[in-house]
Amino acid sequence: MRALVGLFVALLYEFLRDKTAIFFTFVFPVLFTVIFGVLFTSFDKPTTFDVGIIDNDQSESSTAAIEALRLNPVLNVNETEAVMEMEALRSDDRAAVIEFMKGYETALRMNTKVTIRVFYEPRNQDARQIVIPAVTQSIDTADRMQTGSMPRIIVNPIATETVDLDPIDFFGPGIMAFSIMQIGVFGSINLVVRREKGILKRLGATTIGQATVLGSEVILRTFIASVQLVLQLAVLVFVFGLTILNVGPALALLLFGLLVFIGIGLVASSFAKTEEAVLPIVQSISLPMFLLSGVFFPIDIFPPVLQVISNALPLTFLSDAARQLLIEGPPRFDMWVNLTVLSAWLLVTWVVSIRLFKWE
Amino acid sequence: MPVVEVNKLSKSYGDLRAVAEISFNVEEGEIFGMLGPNGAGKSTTVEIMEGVRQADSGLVRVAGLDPQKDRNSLRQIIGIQLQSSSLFPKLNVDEHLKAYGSFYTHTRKLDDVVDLVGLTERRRGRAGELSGGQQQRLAIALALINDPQIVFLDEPTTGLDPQARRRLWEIITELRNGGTTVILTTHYMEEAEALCDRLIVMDHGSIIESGTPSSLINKHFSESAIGFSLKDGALIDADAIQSSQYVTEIRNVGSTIEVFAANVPGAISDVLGLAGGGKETIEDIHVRKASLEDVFLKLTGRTIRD
Repeated sequence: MRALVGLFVALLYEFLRDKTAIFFTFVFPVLFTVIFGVLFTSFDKPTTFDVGIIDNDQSESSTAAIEALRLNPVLNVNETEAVMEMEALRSDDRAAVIEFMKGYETALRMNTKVTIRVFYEPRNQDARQIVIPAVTQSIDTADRMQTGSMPRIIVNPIATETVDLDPIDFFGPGIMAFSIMQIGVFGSINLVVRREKGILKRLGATTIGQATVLGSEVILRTFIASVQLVLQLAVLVFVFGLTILNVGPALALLLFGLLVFIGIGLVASSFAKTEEAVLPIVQSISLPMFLLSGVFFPIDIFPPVLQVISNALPLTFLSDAARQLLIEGPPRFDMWVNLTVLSAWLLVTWVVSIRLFKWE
Repeated sequence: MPVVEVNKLSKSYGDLRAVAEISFNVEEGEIFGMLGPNGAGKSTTVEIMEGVRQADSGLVRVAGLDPQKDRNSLRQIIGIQLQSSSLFPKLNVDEHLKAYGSFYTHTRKLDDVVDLVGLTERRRGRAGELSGGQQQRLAIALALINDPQIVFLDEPTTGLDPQARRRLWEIITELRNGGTTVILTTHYMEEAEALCDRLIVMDHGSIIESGTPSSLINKHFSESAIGFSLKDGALIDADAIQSSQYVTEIRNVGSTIEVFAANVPGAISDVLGLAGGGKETIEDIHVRKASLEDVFLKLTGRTIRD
């Protein structure tokens, strides 16, 4: 255990003092996230928001409430068919849809509480932060003017299930999974360099074994990946307003994925004697995954032939699983399929790399 | 009581017989040298003693332990310096020693080790920024961090300038004086001569000679070497010199001619006579004792760096 920590600290110093490595593991992926994030986001913040009305009561009271909403400068009220409004919400043409239930007026007359449902897109930050408060405020003010003090109307926000993802929503978990792949696979270059320089042979001439050497490498990569994931999450949430869910499980999943890609990197490293030899191997592993694993775009838009390749790449399963957790995006595969495929990759790559491990 | 026993040790890489049935003992507290050209099998033999490599056949005991079966207990009590410097380029001296120290249950005090190898001024210097000699001393410091009984040094001075080499010789001698057994390989004759209490001479995987440096020289050369060079345009009759009753051998070493003789005054007088008194023809005449280099040349018919 002391040896594991001792070796990890040595590797950590080596890493932290390598300016090129710092740039490519921390700065570059964040820049990458920002650049693609900008491409996938529109930054002109609207000043008014379209909301839809479904008036099932068609009463004086409901009309009065709708009037109150119309007076709110933030809201641009639309009133068409109920079905059309819900469809508009789904395609992002409405920030929210406000529904007055049948019996709204009757309830008010009897002085009982009544609920107005406000449907919104769970990932739409403006809807949560601006539109729903605006609706609540308008309804509340109107209500108080009528009764004096006792509010009778409760505004109940309801998050809808949505099918369409915004590009940035799709991209966010994808780029995180991609970074994990990079850290895992490219980490093997260091191992080859240390073997080439005779450092591994020297370590092997002490009391420590293969488990300590590989273990310290895994701890280092996990540390690097954790920092990287937090940085990317911060950019995605605070710069691009991504709404993230299940953060804990998602990070656990991504770190599990890291083990898979470290395993793949180790296999690659055992086939290369020099740094010059391992680099093209690692690049030829990472490039297809960069293009075909659904990091930037859904795999469905690719021709079927390419989709077959996509379905063979481990990153496809990791990014799909990350997307399901982090933004509760629509699954491409069932979660258990993702986890099973990743576990199989983990098992095979680690068994092979432990078998092929060489000190020199 | 020998601290290392090697009996009929053999190791092949494919068709290449790297080590062929060699046997030797190393006594406790001595500097034991393994001398020979590159590819003689020195490193392979050392790495088998260290448990880094496995022998094909033969018996090896280091401090009474089997390097393969008792690998872990052996590693606790031996120190190893490999031929390649194998340091982390961005770690400094102290960090190296701390990392390697964490691999052993018993360690020496950091200050003592740094002091012993003369790196006290460079403790914060990163390995990549150290000079070749300092890197080599750090590699030796790493071999000493676990306070080993036996230290293996594989060509510790290769590639170093003469001053750095002498500095390292002092450290190695100090180690031996402190009671540590040192086993070192080298292809420098003068190093083996200056450092080793006993040595074996290896070539093509076999031991061709063994003993103390002076016993080896005395056994093969009772003569001294008289070296001289000729002035521009001067000629001398080599056959005539060879026929002198005092001269046993004549050799050309670069621009210098070397004449081996037991009776030095007689041989010099003969040479000067043949060279017409020598004033016009000979310059820079000097006499030296025969060296291990001469022994190796005599045994193998080539110099060690060929």
